[in-house]
Amino acid sequence: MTQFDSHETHHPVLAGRGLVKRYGEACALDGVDITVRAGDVVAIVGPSGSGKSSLLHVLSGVLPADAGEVFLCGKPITTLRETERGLLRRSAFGFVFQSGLLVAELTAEENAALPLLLAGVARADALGAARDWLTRLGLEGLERRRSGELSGGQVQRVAVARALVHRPRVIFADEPTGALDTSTGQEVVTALLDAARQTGAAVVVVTHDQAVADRAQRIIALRDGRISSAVAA
Amino acid sequence: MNPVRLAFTVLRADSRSRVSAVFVAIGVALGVVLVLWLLAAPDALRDRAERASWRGAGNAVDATDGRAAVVVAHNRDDLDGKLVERYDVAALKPGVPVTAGIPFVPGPGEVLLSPALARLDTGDRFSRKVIGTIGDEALKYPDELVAIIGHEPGTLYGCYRPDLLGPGEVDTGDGVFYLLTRVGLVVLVVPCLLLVASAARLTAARRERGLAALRMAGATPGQVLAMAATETAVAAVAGSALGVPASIPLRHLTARIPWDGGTWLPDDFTASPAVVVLVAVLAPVLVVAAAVLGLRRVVTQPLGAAQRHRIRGPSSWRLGLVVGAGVLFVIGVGRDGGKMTVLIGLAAVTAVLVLAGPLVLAVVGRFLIESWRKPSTLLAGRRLSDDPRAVFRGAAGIVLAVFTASMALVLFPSLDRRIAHSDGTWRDDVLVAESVGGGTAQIAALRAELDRRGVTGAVVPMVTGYATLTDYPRETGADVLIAPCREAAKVLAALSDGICEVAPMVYAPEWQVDRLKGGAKISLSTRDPAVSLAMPPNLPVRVYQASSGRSYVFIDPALIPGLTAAPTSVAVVTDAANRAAVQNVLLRSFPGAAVVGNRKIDLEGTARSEDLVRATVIGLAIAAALGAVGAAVGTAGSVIDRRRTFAALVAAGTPVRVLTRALHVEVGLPVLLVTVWAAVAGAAVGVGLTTITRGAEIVFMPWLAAPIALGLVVALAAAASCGPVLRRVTSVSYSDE
Repeated sequence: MTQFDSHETHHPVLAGRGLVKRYGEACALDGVDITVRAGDVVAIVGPSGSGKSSLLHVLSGVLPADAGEVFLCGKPITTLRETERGLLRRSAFGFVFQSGLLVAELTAEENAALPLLLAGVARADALGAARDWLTRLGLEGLERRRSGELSGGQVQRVAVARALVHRPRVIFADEPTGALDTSTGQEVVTALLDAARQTGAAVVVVTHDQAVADRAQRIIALRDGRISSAVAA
Repeated sequence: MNPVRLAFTVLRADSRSRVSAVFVAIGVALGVVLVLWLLAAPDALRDRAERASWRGAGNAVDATDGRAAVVVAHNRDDLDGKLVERYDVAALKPGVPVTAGIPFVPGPGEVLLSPALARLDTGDRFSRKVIGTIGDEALKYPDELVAIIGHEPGTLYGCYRPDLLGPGEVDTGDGVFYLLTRVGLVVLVVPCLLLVASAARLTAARRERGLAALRMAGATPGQVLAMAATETAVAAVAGSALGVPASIPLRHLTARIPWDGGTWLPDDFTASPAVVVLVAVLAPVLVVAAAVLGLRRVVTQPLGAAQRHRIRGPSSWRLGLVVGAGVLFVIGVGRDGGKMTVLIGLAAVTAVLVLAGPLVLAVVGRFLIESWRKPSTLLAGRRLSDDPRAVFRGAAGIVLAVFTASMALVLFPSLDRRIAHSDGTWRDDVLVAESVGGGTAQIAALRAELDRRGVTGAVVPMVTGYATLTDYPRETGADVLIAPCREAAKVLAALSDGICEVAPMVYAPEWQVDRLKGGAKISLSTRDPAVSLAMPPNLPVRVYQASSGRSYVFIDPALIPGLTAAPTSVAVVTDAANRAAVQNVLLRSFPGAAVVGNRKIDLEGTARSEDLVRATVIGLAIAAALGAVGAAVGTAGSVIDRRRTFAALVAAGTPVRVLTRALHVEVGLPVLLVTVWAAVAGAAVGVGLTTITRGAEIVFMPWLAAPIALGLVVALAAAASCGPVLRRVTSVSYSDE
């Protein structure tokens, strides 16, 4: 684990202050403030182009903010170099993308173990941890299957396992149900939230899906790069 | 929308499709250039042969034939380390018809020289009045050294011809050069095709999805195919249009590459207009046809095309073929196998190389999957094991080039010593005039002339012939040389003075001794008419240790009753200072005779070896460049296809350098594996072919490492292409589509 570890719950694990992100003339984020506590589930909603994905990218350190500051467990990450932010994303954050984006050549367990393997964890340990998470997510018996042999929901659950295998502090989910039907989407969200609860990780989910947003503790609505409303679900 | 217009819209709007189209165009252009070049090569050879066709003795007539107009003797001379084509001629009547480039047949005391030879200091080699030059129309290549030397009728031994014209048509359909152009056609065009295929695959995954979506949206198969064909045709036609003019500078460049002694005339490498049109049209048609065929799945199963499909591994019949070919080859090179068996085995081994390659890759892939410690090794293993045929296909051009080069680099040096160079028959300081004719008077004149010039080396007249064994008439006989032992020992490497007995003897290699006991019939290598002599049975025979040269049976003249024949060869011991003078004297003393020596034989052999090695290196270099570009494009394409996955990994914190390293292993390892596989197979076949050539010893030159190095270069080039493409994959590219 990293210097940003926090064992306290309900304290801000992630915070953004006055976040600004521009793409040329277009302003994607215009002074956004956001606080995420340990164990929180925060949904970010809004119409296309409202700045949802930009906020997720800036909070996770994928993109640097043009102005403002992001704090992880009270420490600023905006000033970190790309390699340090990469290390942070690998250790403190987990990611779930819209269509899983698994490595097609690898099996479910190898995909889930990938963050550990790339971090240099021994093969047996990494695969053991991955199998453990796949079992928890109801994928027992499918460990040796490739992504092409799994359903969309199963692929997303493997992606959830990959996001959780290294026990991150925050999980960022970008439209995790966007490619799934409603019931499968609900199953995946349930699996994600249950798993996050088990590790105490906070979840920041960007979604168009109201049913997903309704599962969050807080819903932050964006419009034109600003928070238009923030409500507890 | 019109599918053709839609295709143009895609090309205008999508940068990746444009990049793919540019690569397709480059690949087609390179292919057209190379095919035109290689198809023009036989024409070049024919042009050369036609210019030199006046030299052939195909239209020779009998001396008594009324058409006989000129006597011609051809020999290869050497001057300052350069080979000179020497034609001694004697006109029997005025106005002998001559080919273009030769002004007339020179008379006695006159000589015609090629421009390049006229520029050299010929000393008194020809000792005649230079009365003109030989034009390009009668020369193989611009810098060829040719001399046509006139003689008095009756003084020259040669073939009688009605003219100095060539035959109407020249057959060049065989020979090493022709073979090389055909091998080159395959070795160089295959990497071109793979480059085109790799370029076309750059956007394949996305295009397949796009076209499948169009099909599901109601587009007819014809519309989908028209769109795909248009997209490819635009690039292929542009490439073909680029390739035809680009072949012109290459033609001039090629004309500077020496072959068989010299360079070419620039116009030699000009393909006929019909061939140019055919290639220019056929190249894009084939590329478009391949693109359309590649879309079968989209057309027939649009839904399935969007999903990943399981790829079948190589089937076990490949293993059977490999084992069968290997057994055939091993049997062939064994003692009991005939040459035909070996050749069939060779063909089989070459053919199954392509079939066995994927099998080897799949086995290695499975090994890596079992033993991996890093994700990069696992990815490489999965790539090999999942679709070894695709991996092998991607490197097929380099496989072919490495296989051919490895085989050539074992075969050429090994055969070089056997075929090309002096065989050790004569001592190094000896010059031999062969087929001399004449008699003792001419020998006496030669001795006098040499004395006058202060040459003190031994002059050894000899009679040569071929012995048919009385007791073994159906078996191979023996080359015979009739001369006193002590004289022969001065000029022949196999004999030494110490071996010679005082009494007249026969000297033979051990394996010939028993065979000679029954006597033999000796056909002498005299000029017309043929002379035969009887070698009595049970002559005293002494064994000598045969050298690497011809295993002569040496017979003392005193043992052959009735031997009155004039010498057929005269050898003279020279030294560095008088060698050129002796050569001039021999050539003048025996008009039309061939004057040979180890240095000249080595010169001819070296020239041929250099030709072959040069051809191999040029072919290998072009194949390497094409292979490297093709592999790099293919690799870039595979990264582009998976860019969203890589972007997701980067977003999740995986350093780009870790991914780059993984891709280097994934890409480089298979290329290296197939290179080593092809090099080993090529060398094995080369060894096999060397083994069946009698007397050839296997030589492994350091150059043999070149194909492996080539594979390494291609692997590095392919691996290096990952970096720039991967660096363009940003962490937010995962949402691109």
